[in-house]
Formats: sequence, C-alpha cells, structure tokens
Amino acid sequence: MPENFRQSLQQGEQLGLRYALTLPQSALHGQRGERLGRFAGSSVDFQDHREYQPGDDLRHIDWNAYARSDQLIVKLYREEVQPHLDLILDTSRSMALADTPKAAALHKLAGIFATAAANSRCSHAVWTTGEGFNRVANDTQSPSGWGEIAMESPMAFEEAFGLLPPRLRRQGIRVVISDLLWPGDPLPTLRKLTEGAAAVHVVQLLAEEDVEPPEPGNVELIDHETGETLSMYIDASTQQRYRQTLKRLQQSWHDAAKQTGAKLVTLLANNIDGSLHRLEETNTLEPA
Amino acid sequence: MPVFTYPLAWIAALSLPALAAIYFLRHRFRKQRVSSLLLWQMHKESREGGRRIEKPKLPLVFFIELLVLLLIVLAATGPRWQIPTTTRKLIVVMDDSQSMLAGAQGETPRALALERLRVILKERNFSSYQLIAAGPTPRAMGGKVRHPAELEDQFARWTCQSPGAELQQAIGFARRLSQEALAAKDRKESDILVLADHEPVGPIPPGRVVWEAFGKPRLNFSFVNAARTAHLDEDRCLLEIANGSAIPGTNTLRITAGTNLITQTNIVLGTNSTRRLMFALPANYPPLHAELGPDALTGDNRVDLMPPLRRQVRVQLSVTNTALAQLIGDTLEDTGLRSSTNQPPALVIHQSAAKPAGAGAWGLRLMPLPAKPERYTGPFVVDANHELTSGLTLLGVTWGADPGATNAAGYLPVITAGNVPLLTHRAEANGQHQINLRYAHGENHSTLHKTPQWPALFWNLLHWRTLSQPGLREVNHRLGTDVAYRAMDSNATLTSPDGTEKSLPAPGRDIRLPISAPGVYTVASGPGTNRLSEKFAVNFIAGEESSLARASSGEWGKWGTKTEIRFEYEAFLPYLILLALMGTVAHLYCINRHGGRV
Repeated sequence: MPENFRQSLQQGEQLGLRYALTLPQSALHGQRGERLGRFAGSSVDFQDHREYQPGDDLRHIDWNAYARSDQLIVKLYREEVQPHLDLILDTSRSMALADTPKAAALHKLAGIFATAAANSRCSHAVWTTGEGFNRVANDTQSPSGWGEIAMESPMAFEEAFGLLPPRLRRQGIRVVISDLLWPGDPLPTLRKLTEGAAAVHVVQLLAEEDVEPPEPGNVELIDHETGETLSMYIDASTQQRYRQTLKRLQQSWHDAAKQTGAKLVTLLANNIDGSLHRLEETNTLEPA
Repeated sequence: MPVFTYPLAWIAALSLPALAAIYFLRHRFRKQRVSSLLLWQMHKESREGGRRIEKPKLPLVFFIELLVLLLIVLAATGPRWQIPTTTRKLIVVMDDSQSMLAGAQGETPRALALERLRVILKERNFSSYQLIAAGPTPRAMGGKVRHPAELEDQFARWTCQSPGAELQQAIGFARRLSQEALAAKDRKESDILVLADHEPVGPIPPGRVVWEAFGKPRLNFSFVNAARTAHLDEDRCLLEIANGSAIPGTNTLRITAGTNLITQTNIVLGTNSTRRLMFALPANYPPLHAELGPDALTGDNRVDLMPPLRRQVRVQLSVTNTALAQLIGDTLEDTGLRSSTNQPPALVIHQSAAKPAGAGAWGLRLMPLPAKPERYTGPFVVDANHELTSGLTLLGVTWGADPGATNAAGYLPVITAGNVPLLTHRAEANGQHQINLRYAHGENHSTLHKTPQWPALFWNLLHWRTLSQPGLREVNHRLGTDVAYRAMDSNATLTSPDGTEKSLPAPGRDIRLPISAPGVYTVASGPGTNRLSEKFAVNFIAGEESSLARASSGEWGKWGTKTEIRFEYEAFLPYLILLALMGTVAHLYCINRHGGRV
C-alpha cells in the first residue's frame, strides 16, 4: 500500500475514534456479542416470562413463579449480539483518479467507519471490488493493520457485483463508499445491497474534478477506468449540461435509495474532514 | 484592387500568425483524466466507420481578435479603393489603320496594344470605358460601358482596316467627350489612352493623355499607286511599288489578268525607294491582279484593277446652221464620249425654243443671236465649281454674243461677260438639265472654237452627262475614298469580297457605298432584265501607312504620378476603424458573457 494511503487510513482511524457507528435498534441481529439483541437470549437482562415448553433450559425456570402459580414459567433474557459492519469499498480505478485526493479520502473514510464500528462494538469486514468482491487482508483488525487496498480494478462496481457479490452478513450494517459513476439503473444494485441488511448507507465520494467540469477549451477526456477517450470542446453550455447530468445521476440514486430504505450522502474528497458532519446529519455516525 | 499608402505597415500583419499561434497552443486538446465518461456521454458520438478526426475548435473571441487585428493592420496601410464615384472615365483611342496588323500573329501592334490595355484594365478601375477607333475619321466602337468585361465585344470591332489614322482628330474627339463629361456631372477629366504603332508627332496634347506605341520598324513592300485608265482602244496600267521601311530588301511581284500570267519578277528596293511599272492592255481585258510576296504587312500586298468604264452619250444634233452643226459634230466625235447607238438621245443640241422630249434627255440650246453680235474679250465671270467649267480658262478668248441678252428666269449663269449671260444652266425637277449657250461662231465674232477650250467645254458636258447615268463613276478605288454610285431604282445590293450581300436603300438614287475592306465588290440595282450589275475594286493604297520606317514602341505622357492617382481613390480608413471598434465591443461582450474567461 502506498505510504500516503496508509497515512490516510491511519488518519481515518484517528478521526474514527470520535465517532460511533449508528446502529438501528430494531434490526440488530448478529452473532453472540456484547450488545443486547432484539430477541431473547442469554444475557443477564430480563425480558419476559412465558410458559415452559419442552426443551427450555431448566435453569431458566422461575421457581418462585412456579411456587405461586403451580405452573412452570420460564424467564426470558435478552440476547446479547454483536452487530456487524460490511464496509464495501469501490476500488475501481475511477476512485483513484490522478491528481485528486479521492483515493486518500476513500482510505480515510474506511478508517473512520472501521473505527466507528469498533466504537459501536461492531465487528466489521472490508470488501473491495476487483474481479468480483474480495476481502481486504486482516480487515477484522484495526485499520492500521489492514493489508493493501488495491485501487486498480478496471471493473465497475455494478459489474463486479454481478460477477462475484460480497458475502454480506444478514442483518448487518452495510456501508458502501463509491463515486457511483457507472451507467445503469441504481435500483437493482441498491436492492441487492439492502436485501437482508439492517441498514445500508451509501456514501458517494466525489472529487472536486468530478463535480466541476474542466475549464473551457479543447479537451481530450480520458476515462481513468477504461482508458476510453473523448475529444471535445468545452464551453459554458457544455459545462452547464455536465452539471445537470451529474445532478440527474445523483437524483436517480436518491430516488432509488428512498425506495429501498438506504441512506445516501455525498461527500467531497477534497474536503473530507469538513464533510464528516454530513455523516452525523444522516445518522450514519454519531459522536462516540 | 485597393492600393496601400503605407505598404510597409503590412509588417504588422505578423501579429496575426502570432495570435493564431497563441490561441492554438492555448486551445489545443489538453488531456484530462476523468473518473468516468458517463457524464460526458451526451457528447459521445458513434464511432462506427472509424474514428472521427477532431480538429481543435477555437473560441469566437479568437476570430474576433483576429478580425480586429486584421482591420487595424489594414487601416495602418492606408488603403484606398477605386470606386466608381472617385475614379475617372477612360477613353481609349485606338489606331485603326492597317499598320497595326504588321508582324506575325500575336506580335502585331494591335495584339500587343490589346494585351497592354487588358493589363491596365486589370490594374485600375475606371468609372466608365469608351473606345474610339481612329481611322480617317474617329468613330466610337460602341457605347460607353461600366465594366471592362463588356469591352471584349468591342475589341472584335477593332479590325484595323483603315488606310490611315487621324489620331490627332480622334484625340480631339476624345477630349471633347471628356470635357462634355466634365461639364456635365463627372467633375473629373477623363483619362485618355492612345494605342498606336508609332510615337506621337509633336508634343502630347495637353490633358490627361497617355500615348503608348507598340510598333517595330519592319521590312515592308507595298503598292503605293495603282491605276487602270481607258485610252482610246487600250487600257493604260500603272503600278507603283515602294519599300517604305528603313531596311533594303527584295520581293516578288506577280501580275495576272484572269488566268493569264502577265509577269512575275523579283523586285529589289533600297530604303525609301519606289519602282514604277507602266504597261498597256487591250480594252476590256480581264481584271488585273497584282500581288507581292508575304512581308510584315499583308494588307498592302495586292491590288485588283478592273477594266475602266467607257461610258458614252447618245447625242442628237438638231442644228440648222450647217457650219455650226459640222463644228459641233466634229467636236463631239473628238471627245470620244459620243455614242453611235440607236438608243434614245441623252443629249439634244438644238436651236428651237422647245425643250427636248424624252425622260432622260438633256438639252443644249444654241440661243439666237443678232446679226451683229458683240465681241467680248473679257473679263469673263466663270462659275468655277460648275461641272461645265472644269479646267476651262478663257484668257485671250474672244466670245461673240448678244449684248442685249438677259438671263431667263430659273437659269443660273455659268459664264458671263459682265452682265451678259453667255452660258446658263437650269436643273429641272425631273432630273433633266437645260443649258443655254450664246455663242457666235463666225470667224469675225469668236475665237473660242479655235482654242482647246471649245472641245473641253463639250467634253465637260458629255462627261457630266455620263456621270448622271446609273451605275458607278469609277471602278477602281482606293480604300478610304468614297465610292459613289447612282442606283437605277431606290434600292441597291452590294456584294462584298467574302460573298456577303447587303441591301442598301437609295432613296435619292445617289449613294455612297459603305466600303471597309479592300477587295473586289459587286453592286447591282434595277428591276428584272434591266438590272445593272457592276464590279469594282477597292485597293489598300496608302504609302504612309505602308511605311513602317517610323513605327516605334514606347510610352509618352502620363495621367499623373502614382501618388496623385492613389489619392484620387476613396480612403476607407474610417470604415475600418469603425469596424475595428465594433469588433472590440463584440469582443468585450463575449469576454463579459463568459465571465472574463476566453
């Protein structure tokens, strides 16, 4: 991993100490852990009584209640679960656009989310796009211990999702960090992401160069992902049309997010530190 | 074409490529990586059939700046444009004489002059153009035209067939046209261009006259004289050949009559020398054709001589006095003009008071005299312009006449002795003529009939009568002279040497035949079987024109200095400045519209 990315990851880890991942109480589910779950479990927190049924743990029979009512009543305790965060990173080449802080911001955000998840006593897994989705080495550890996050995938996010989707944990929290700049309808992608998820947060990470078109003049545009080129003359009207197209793309993602219950927030890579409050506003993160 | 007062200012035009280079370097395709072309798909085009070559597109301001720079540079050169309101008229005086055709094809003064004229027309604009052909008399070759291209049709009419060119007269005509235009509305004197093959004789006429000559001294043999006249029973022929050039040379003379070769000989002539050939041919011998070998000018190398006319007059002599009748009869015979045919008389010599009968009969009445006529020795008053007095001198002559005679009403006195009319003439309305002669022929009264003036008087009378007969007066003419013809009716047909026929109206019977080129012509008039058809020859005989010794090339006079001419053109500097300012405003607007970015 390049040193600057490593530094960004560490900076994200530092920043993440201030935040905790916002957990949706109603949908918490997971492996046995440290947080109280929605269902009955084996914690010490009493939840309810019910009639004994064969197979119930005899240790949970409320003998006092039996003495009073001559009925076998068992005490139910709340389960203790450990929520899980699936951090899905779009590591296609477009996220490593040259001369932009996009890749660094991606690393920083990944560090923030992983640390915030730890602060929320969540386990986490980090997925990156490549020939399908792959786990980052040592991703269960703190970000500084992660293996390299390769940013050279020529495959678009949606394409990789179709080839080899990530094995996402059910009822987990899923955070997707991507620039969302790929053709196609965002609704199917979001439906796949939200299926069985407790919550889905989509963070659109854009560089200043993505938001603002190039200066007027003759420009040969090179698609950083595919290498495809397009020569054109950019003037004020072209710039205007570009901004409108970006706006329409974002609107389509917003609409799809609204339909699927996902939350979408757009961050500017050039000012990632100043944009973190947007994550708090959308209840993605909360102060630790 | 515009002219530039300060052409060195064009150096500033180097700023144009510099500006273009700046913009090109600035606006060439710069490479820029983007996350995805997704958002640029609106501009993506199908690449089926190959990749389209994208040319760098430059902003509008570049073109505005380029235009403004160009306008400023153009303004700095001080351009002036020739527009009709500021230019002058051009009047071209073109030498229409044969010498303009001397030389090989394409090298003749005419060809060179035309070439030069086209160059001038290309270089300069004039408000209008007028061509004047300078022949024996100046003639306009066409109307005034506004565009040089319209002159091409008129150039074809510049045939150069005239036997001479009165250039001074043509220049005077051109100057008069110029002054008329000056007085009218043009306010500017016209430019006059003279195209000739020799230098001007004397100084160039004042005014805006440029004389350009394109001639070269060349060897040229030519006929300078040719005649065939009737003399008794034979025709006398005269041919005179000259070498008018400054170079001695030889040539071949070939003379034929019909299919008969009369002579063929080499002629060697020095500078400015002539050779004369005289020979006789039987009367009514076929037309004579003489031709010289080819040289610089071919138009003067041939002559045709038709058999001369031998017109005679049928005379009826009705004189009772035997001696007088004998005297007049002998005189008429001696003139050789009296016809002996049985045709109705054309002239009746009588003593009676009655006029001769017959439509075409003229009358010469011998007036009655007193028994003792008066002897007049002069001075005689003679109407020298009358046909009857041609060559007549009455010095020393004694003329006997009636001292009490008075002129009858309607008669014009031709010869009088004091107030005594001796010979009077009256022209009738029907074309007849009545002449009254008072002459006492007795030995004691007059001596006129013993002098040569007596037959001369009768020769004049008969010759005059022959001239009034229908037909040609002469059959051999020089080009440029009038060919007089009396038609039999009110229409005549002229057949040119090339076979083209032209119908000529002759309301007054006497007409001048329109001849513009040498050759053998046929003219005919009259009805049906009485139709009179005659051939006549027109020869290019002009010694001065054939002499190419004084042909030269050069240019004389000028219309003004180049600066003077240039400042006559319209300066359009203010318009350029105005346009440049408008361009600057447009530039500012574009810059402002794009937020100060280019």
